[in-house]
This record gives sequence, structure tokens and C-alpha cells, in this order.
Amino acid sequence: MDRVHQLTDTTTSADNQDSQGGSLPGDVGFWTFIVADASLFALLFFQFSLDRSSRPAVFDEGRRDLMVFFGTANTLVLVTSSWLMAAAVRAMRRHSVRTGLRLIAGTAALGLVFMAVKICEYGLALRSGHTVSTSPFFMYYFMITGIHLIHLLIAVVVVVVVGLRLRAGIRSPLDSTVLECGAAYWHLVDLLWMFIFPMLYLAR
Amino acid sequence: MLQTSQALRRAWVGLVAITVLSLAVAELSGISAGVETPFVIVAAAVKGRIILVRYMVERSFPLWLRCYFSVWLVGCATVIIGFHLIS
Amino acid sequence: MWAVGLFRIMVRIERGRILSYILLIGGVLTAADLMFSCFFWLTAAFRPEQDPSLIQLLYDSGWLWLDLAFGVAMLYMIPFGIIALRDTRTEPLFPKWLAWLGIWVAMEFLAELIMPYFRSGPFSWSGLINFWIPFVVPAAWQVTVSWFMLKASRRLNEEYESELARAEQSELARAGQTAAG
Repeated sequence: MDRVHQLTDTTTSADNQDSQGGSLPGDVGFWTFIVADASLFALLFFQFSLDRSSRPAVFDEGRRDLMVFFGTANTLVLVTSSWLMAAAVRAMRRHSVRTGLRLIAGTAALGLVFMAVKICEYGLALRSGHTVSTSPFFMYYFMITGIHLIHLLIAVVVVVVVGLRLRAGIRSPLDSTVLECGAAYWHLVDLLWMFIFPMLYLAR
Repeated sequence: MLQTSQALRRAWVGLVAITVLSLAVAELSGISAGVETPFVIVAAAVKGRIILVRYMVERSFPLWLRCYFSVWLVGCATVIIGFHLIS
Repeated sequence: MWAVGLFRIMVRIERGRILSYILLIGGVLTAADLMFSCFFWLTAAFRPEQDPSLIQLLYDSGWLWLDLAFGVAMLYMIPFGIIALRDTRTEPLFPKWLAWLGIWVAMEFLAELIMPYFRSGPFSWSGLINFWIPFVVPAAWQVTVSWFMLKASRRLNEEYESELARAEQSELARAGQTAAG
């Protein structure tokens, strides 16, 4: 397909060739990290659902105190950031550095918007008297969204570092691998939120 | 192994549309919980699949990784819906 | 001892030595961490007839110490991950997925920091997130790393011997040349 335009260095591409001749983005071993993280969240979803099934009224009461508007806004922000991230990787692979940089900046900016909205939401919840120990629902709410937020923070940092190095004119195959790993991680964060949002905010 | 910009854009439109639809079903319609919850969670799984295929370029995944994510999507959706329905 | 063994192998991969030393220190501190917790529990069990609230206090102290200080395990897991990833051999001594798994587990230990806020549920010391994952997964990881350590030490020995043989040959060749010339 577009193998001629792949920016990743030859050893990484060779390592990543799968049986169908495609090329796994980023570093192969890094996907272990992604799988581990996804598994952790799957366990969290399971634990939440299990606990909820024994006390549905308590959990529903907590859910009704959440502001769906914030959750929806964050969903749209994150989904858009994922689009920009994917577009950035595509631009870098086609050697359009300036476009890539702009897209990376946009991605990071939206990541920061998500975090800002989340913190506002936390502030409002805390002001209403909800904390990690007030109800099991809010324990899960703060913990799950909190762990997710930390994941997003790490992703933002990685993306910003790559962007800064790119802007400084540093071009190395390692940077492109890191960008692709960072992008994969970003999409994972997005994927997780696709479940977290309805599970916490919408499901009755 | 590049996604076209059209494919990326279409994926975004799909994700936004499904999000708005989920919101409408959950908050604005009068549908009962027994229907609403499976709907929004299946919608989440569909969105997850779009992200996997379009943004994460699932076709470049080795078999084990494809299997893992398929099981993950189906498993998470089933577990969440299952526990919601039995409570 | 395990830490020392790993240190010796890691030193052969890493060019500088800083991360390897951090790894060694991390391994030693982790062992010490486990030792201290055992002291608390041993003390609690020493006189089972004493006031139950005292036993509870010692028991809790043991767990709080263990979980919070287990962050030191990050000191050997992350350097291991970094050194293993930077291995420039065509076939690295440790697979990349193992390095990344170690780094992931180390990050998960950060979740342990939240443990004191919970007395029950999945985030308490006995819960899914703060017990099963931080102890079962690293244990499995450590066993896997040990397996690769054995393979690695054999390979390093072979590398050393072949280097020695090559050095001897070039010595002989040079000696032969000076004798002829």
C-alpha cells in the first residue's frame, strides 16, 4: 500500500511486519503495555458492575448527581483529539512536518481541555459534598476517572515532548516510534473513555 | 499502511453521531432502563470498534492482538450489560 | 541475591552504570521492605492473647508499610525496562514485551499510594487493585525474568569465551607477523 512512505526506521518496520505484510504502529513490545492497561480497566469495569449489582439504588442515586453535560463535552473533546492525533501520525509518515506539528499541538491542547473540564467537574462534585468515601458510586467515579485522567496526562506529556523535539529540528527514527506509541496510547485512552462515559453517566 | 484523511474524518463523524444518539436515548427519550442501558453500552462498543479500526489501524495488528481487542470489546460490553440487567 | 544476579547481567548491557546501580539498590530496598512488614506481623502473632486492638494496629502497620514502601520496587523495575529496551544486540537478552510489562507493573504501584484511604473494597490493601494485581503480576513477571536471566548468563558466557578466543587469535597473528618481519 503505502509502505514506501513509512517514516519508521528499517529495524522497527522489519520487526513489526506481521504475517499479512502490514506494519504495527510503534514498537511491538509497547503493545504489551497497552494490553496490560486495557486489562486493568476491564477489571475495573467488572468490579464496578459487580458492586453495582448488589446495590443498584445507591449507585443510581450517585449517578443522578453527575452532570452529563460535562461527560458529553469531554467525550466530544477526546474523540476530536483522537482524530487530530491520527492525522498527525499520518502527516509525519508523509514527511509533512509542519502539518504534523500543528496537529500535535491541537491534540495536546484538546487533552488539556479534557483535563480542565474534568477538574471543574471534580471541584463541583467535591463542593456538593461527594468524596471518595461518601458512597461506593463516588469511590468508583473518582478512582476510575482519576486513573483515566493520569493516563491522559502521561499521553499529553509524551506528545508534547515529541512535538517540542520536532519543533527544535530534531529528527530521529526513535521520535517517530515514540510518536506512534504515544498515538496508540492516546487512542487507548479514548477507547477507554468510550466505555467509562456511558457506564458511569448514562447506564441506569 | 496509512489511513486516508477521508477515512479519519468519517470515523470522527460516526463517533460524534453515536455519542449524540446515546445521549438522546439516555436523557431525552423515556425508554426504560432495561432497553437504554444495553443500547448505550453497545453504542460504546461500536465506538470502540471504530477507534480500533480507523485510528489504531487494526488491520496491521497481529492475530493475537486482534483477538484480544475483540474479546475485550465484547467482554466489557457483556459484563456491564449483564450485571446491570440482573440487578 | 536475585538483585545482584540481575545487576551483573544488566551491567553487561548498559554502557554507563547508573541505572544498573539504581536497580541494585531497588532490589535491596524491596527485600528490606518485605522484612520490616514481617517484623510487624511476627510481633502481632507473638502474643496472641494480647489486646485485639493492638494486634489490629500491628497488622495494619505491616500492610501499610508494605504497600506504601513497595514503590521502591519501581527502582528496579523501571531501570530494568529501560536497560532491556536499549539492548542493541540483534537478539536482545530480554524480550521487549517483558521490559514494557515491568514498566507497566511499576506504574501500577503508584495506584498503591491511594490505598490508605480505603478500608474495604477493591482499592483497600486486600482488594483486587491493591493486592491481587500488585503481587500476583510482579511475581509472575519476576519468575519470567529469572528464566530469561538464566538464558542470558549462558549467552553472555558464550560471548565472553568467543571474545577471548578472538583476542587470542589476533595475538597469535600479531606474534606471527613480528616473527616473520
